[in-house]
Amino acid sequence: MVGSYYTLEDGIEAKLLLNNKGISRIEVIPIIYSAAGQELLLPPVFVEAQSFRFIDLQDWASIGGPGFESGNIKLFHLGKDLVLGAQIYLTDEAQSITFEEKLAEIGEFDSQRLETVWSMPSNNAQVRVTLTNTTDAPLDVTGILGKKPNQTSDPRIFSLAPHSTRAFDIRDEFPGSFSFLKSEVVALSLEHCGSANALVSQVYIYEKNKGYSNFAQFSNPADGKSSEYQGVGFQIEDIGNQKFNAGIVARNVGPDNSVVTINIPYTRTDGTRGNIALPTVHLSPGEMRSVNTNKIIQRVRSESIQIASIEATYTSAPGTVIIAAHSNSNDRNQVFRLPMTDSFAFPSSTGGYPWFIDNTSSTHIYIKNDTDLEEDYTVYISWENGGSFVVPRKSIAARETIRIDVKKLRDDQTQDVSGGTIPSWVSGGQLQWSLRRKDTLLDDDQSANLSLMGRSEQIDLTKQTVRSYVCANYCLDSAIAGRITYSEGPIEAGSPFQYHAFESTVNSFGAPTGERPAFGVNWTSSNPSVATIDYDGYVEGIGSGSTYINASWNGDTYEPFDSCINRPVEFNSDGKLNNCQASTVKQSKPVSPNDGGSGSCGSCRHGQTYIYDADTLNVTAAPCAYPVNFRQVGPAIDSNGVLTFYYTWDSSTGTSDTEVDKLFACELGERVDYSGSQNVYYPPLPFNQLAPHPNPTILSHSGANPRPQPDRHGNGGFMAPPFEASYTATQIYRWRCPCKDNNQWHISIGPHDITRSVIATGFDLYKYTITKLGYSATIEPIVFSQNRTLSSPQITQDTLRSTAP
Amino acid sequence: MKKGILIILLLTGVGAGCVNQIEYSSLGKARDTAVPESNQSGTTSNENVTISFSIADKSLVLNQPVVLDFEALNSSVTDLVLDLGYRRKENFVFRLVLPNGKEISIPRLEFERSGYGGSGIMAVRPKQNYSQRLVLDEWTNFSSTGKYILKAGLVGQANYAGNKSEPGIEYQEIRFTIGPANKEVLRNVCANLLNEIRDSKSFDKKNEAANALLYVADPIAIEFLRHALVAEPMVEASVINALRKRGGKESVDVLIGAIEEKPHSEMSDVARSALSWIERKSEDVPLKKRIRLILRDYQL
Repeated sequence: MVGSYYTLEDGIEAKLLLNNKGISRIEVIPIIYSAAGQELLLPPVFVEAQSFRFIDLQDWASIGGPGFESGNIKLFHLGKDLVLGAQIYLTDEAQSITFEEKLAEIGEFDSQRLETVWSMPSNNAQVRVTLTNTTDAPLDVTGILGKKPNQTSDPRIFSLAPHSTRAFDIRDEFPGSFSFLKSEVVALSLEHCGSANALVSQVYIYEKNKGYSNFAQFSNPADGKSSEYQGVGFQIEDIGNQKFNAGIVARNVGPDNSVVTINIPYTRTDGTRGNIALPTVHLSPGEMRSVNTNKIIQRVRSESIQIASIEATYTSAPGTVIIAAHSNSNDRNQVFRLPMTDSFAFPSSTGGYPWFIDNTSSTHIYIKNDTDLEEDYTVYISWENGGSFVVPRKSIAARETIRIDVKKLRDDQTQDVSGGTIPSWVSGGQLQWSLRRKDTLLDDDQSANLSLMGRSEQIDLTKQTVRSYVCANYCLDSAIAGRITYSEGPIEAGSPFQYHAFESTVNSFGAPTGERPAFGVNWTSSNPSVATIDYDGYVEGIGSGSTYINASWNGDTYEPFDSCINRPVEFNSDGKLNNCQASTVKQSKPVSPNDGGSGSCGSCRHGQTYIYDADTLNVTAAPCAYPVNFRQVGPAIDSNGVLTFYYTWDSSTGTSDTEVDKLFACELGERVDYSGSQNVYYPPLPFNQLAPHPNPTILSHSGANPRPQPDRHGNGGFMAPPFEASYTATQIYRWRCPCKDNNQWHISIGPHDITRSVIATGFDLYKYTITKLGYSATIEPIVFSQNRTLSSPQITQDTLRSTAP
Repeated sequence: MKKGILIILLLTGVGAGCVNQIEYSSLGKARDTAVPESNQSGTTSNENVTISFSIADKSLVLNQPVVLDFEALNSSVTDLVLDLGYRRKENFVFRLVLPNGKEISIPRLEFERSGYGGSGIMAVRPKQNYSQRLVLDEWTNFSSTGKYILKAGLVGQANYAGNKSEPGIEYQEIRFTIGPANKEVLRNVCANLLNEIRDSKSFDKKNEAANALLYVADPIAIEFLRHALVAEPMVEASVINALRKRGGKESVDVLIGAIEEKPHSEMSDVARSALSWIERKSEDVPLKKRIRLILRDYQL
């Protein structure tokens, strides 16, 4: 791995981050080269498994002595590809200036042509370029400066000694560059004829008096695999009172015209999503322009935006347009750089980042779905001594970006999938994330493996520094084991019980990434007459006995797979070597080249593993629940002659609502027999013969809640036509349950009489009375008028089913 | 309605494709149910309350009962108190767009305020649900074939988002189709309902199935009612009541059979009462004569 530049000059602090995502300690052999190319082989350093460490480069430079204040770095290790992430941080805290450079893996890039473009924050900004020769041979590099719209400088040749680094201010090396740096869009083209890996280079843009620091990202057009870029996590929303301006610039480095389309998908604070479509940009060959971002400002003012990203596409061939994006606060002190990534060239649906929290900074993780399919993802946060925080498997909508603030998770004591939290004393560790295939996707739908992109950002709002970090794992996480929760004893028939299945995963280096509820579990019960189980693991105990509860599901696995093995060497029509990625098509992503490298043939093979676990479940017969203590609640209520009693009851298993709900299978109610009749099917007068009163009258409901229930004794149909009469019915309250005495009836209250009477109280005046259990209700007077209609304070003609005598 | 409560209404056609697919939970069997994250067709919801109607089998046949499944999901941490009206039915309100495009308002059910039970006040525990089956034929007849649009609401449950065509009532639309009569479909419907009557563990659920069975407006249902009467004593009152309402020779045959099988039982008492009701209502002289003879023979 090579890093193009470090410096300890002008108060700059230089640190090297080494992040080990694997399960074994990694020995790293460092070499630093002075700016002049002098080599210094340093003692090995070790990075413990699943941890990271910072190296103060002052310590290494001190060993080298004079001349090593600036230079470049080369690292060697014997771990797996991508298991070690390394990044150089250059920081001037006093000026709020910070730069970072991810070390590149030798053999994974082609530097013979490098292109970059950037936006100038002001005419006063300084631009510093570093050129590092990584080889043992001298290297001549030709540089051409460009400015908007398509002007270029004369070529300038830089001769680099072996392993030397040339760092210079553009104004010092490019004659006439002053006018270029007054342009709002500037570009730099580099070419050399050395080996593919010979050159690494950076461009640093900064304003010390403003605290502005940015850098430009080089790319080789030949490495382009698609005509689109993704920028994951774009800071456009306000932070406190700070408002942000977005800067997006693009250059056409190809031979054909191109039209650039940029969308800003975003999520509002209420969880809804929107999109900002920026004006398209037409670029002729060599042309560079800044993109009009006024619509972003307008949208931020009118909506409450929580998180955004960038999606850029262009119409020309892959790699022929380069795009740079950043946002900065109005005072330009806070700069959020946004790496623009060709997701087809760097497919990375998984990642592993260090996280750390000091007094004022925190790590934010962004994950973006760059497809039109909803996907799932998992996140695993670990720290020293084996501590971990497991985020449950979650869905991420098409085009959605999510953000994880580790400090917020810690400070809010957010609970993870098993109720654990990040201890407040923990200040650093690692975060692993991985795409999880939706179960609905076909196994051979490899594009579904490549939907997500991620990035981490270290933000210090107090020191106003922001650092970005991107590091993919080789393959997606794999499921390696599963288990189910076991019954801790027999359950009662009818009692609720739910099994849960869990799945353990590891990342592609074998490091654990958590245990979470499993999806798509097939639950079976060997003896359905004892218990049945549904797709959610809910058990329903049916009868006494034992049954074997089995859970099985398919877990996704991924393993490194080199698709180039045994592939014949092929050349494209342009004479270039047809490596694996060169044959890919934009709309169908490459067949899992999930290596995160550029130009590698490495890929991941998707498979499935059969996971299962089982438990013996014993079911015992539930104790019979039947109604007890059936009782009247309060006195009876007389309402316009309707006498209403309220009754409640308990269960033999308890008095709570939960226990009474167990009476759901019981029937509870009343039976009323109308007596005195020689034929039971003709209730005698004055009972209304045509009213639908069966004899006996039976009313029932389930014994389960709600309690209490009313029993209303009305007057309808009894008094018409009015004449003196009396009638008595016999009532019982009763219950029966299938589990009690073979479902035989049991009397709760009764038998007792319900007596209704009508007596004359005067000429054409009557009184109605109903009596039961010592309570009575009356209607008086009932007036029988000359026109044979009835009236009373409580009764209307409609309530009486009048019948001719 | 309290804030922080979730309610769901489901409308389900009873047919081979829907019976036994929906779990009717009594309060005691209520199970935690995930709260839908967004509205679905036929669903209204607020922060914690959702009301929805659905028809599992949207293609019914003539004389097949149209069944409404009501479900209340309470996602809050407090009890949901729900007033469904007397006998848990009176507060349901419906409008119906007939196949000819005419929209009618269906009168609410009104019951005589007498007798035990009938309170429509239901309490739904936190994070649990309550479901109930309603047979729409109890409200109106579906005598035409074609496409229907049912608008269902619940009086007094006003605090939900949704279409408000009457103050305080929010109607949700459910579309279904009634095709030509089909004996085979009706036979399957009846068979499924009979299985529910036999196999259900809940008293309410048995009676809901029995109530649906009695609205199969085809003589084919009589045989299944006879089986129900024999198989499950807990639905005797419901089934005999259904036969009384249905009337006719086939119903009388079943009722007489019940009396003859257990002449000294409660089932016999109720069956005799039902026969006397049919006798008074019927204009079929031979049938009236036959009933009178039976009642005389089994007069106790």
